[in-house]
Amino acid sequence: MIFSLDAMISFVIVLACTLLFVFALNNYAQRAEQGLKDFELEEKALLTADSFVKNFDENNTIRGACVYDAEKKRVRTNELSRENITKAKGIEFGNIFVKSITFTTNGTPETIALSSKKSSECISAKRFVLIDREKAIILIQTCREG
Amino acid sequence: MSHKLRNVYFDNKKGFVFSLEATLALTLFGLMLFTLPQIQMTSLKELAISQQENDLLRILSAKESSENEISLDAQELFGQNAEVWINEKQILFAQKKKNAIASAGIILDPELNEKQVKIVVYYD
Repeated sequence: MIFSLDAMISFVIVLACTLLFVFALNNYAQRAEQGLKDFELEEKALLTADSFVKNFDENNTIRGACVYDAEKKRVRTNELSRENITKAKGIEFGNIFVKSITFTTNGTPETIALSSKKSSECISAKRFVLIDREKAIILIQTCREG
Repeated sequence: MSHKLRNVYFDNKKGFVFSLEATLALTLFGLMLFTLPQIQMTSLKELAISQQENDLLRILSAKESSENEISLDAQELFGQNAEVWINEKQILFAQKKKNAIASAGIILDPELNEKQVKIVVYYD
């Protein structure tokens, strides 16, 4: 077998290229996985907050805390009551859960803790609502366990 | 004579020999690096802003507010990133950024007077 210096250098270059390519693919896969996790958390946070300010669910008001207008037989979207907010219980989607609800009326912030689990990453969805006919900013904090 | 001269010319030439094969190899290597997949980070920022704009319009329709109150509400929700227009008159100015999302709605007051509200939110 003839093994020239040129062949050896070529072989080393091919190996280096393969290593670089595998390294780049690994890096890509890790970033894609993290991106997907971030997207999942953001999606759950936004959709939970949207449901909270657009629906009414008497079993667990975290799914909807709007005021129900019995006369018109419909919920009044974005119009919440303090009573409904304080009745909210925790909710989980796999390892993602709603940690707390914070709302500010007349400059006074109030927080309702829904879970005491340890969390690694959290996202707060901010919504503008009426609470007992007063304008308020509401923050729903959604976290990943960890 | 001319053959001899040419040899002398090549013998004296110093420097770098770059073959066609090497050029091709480097081009392929460059192309390989260039074609590595790039991650498109997906975000729901646009959805979040649209939802907040919708909240503001919904609250303005549910509770009567003055122009000053509308400006304060928009500032509280979007900071310095929102412009508000009422009946084509701008009442709140913003710092312009790369992207923008706009929402508009027609609100009727108790006397059924029409009020056209437009909100533009800028973001990077």
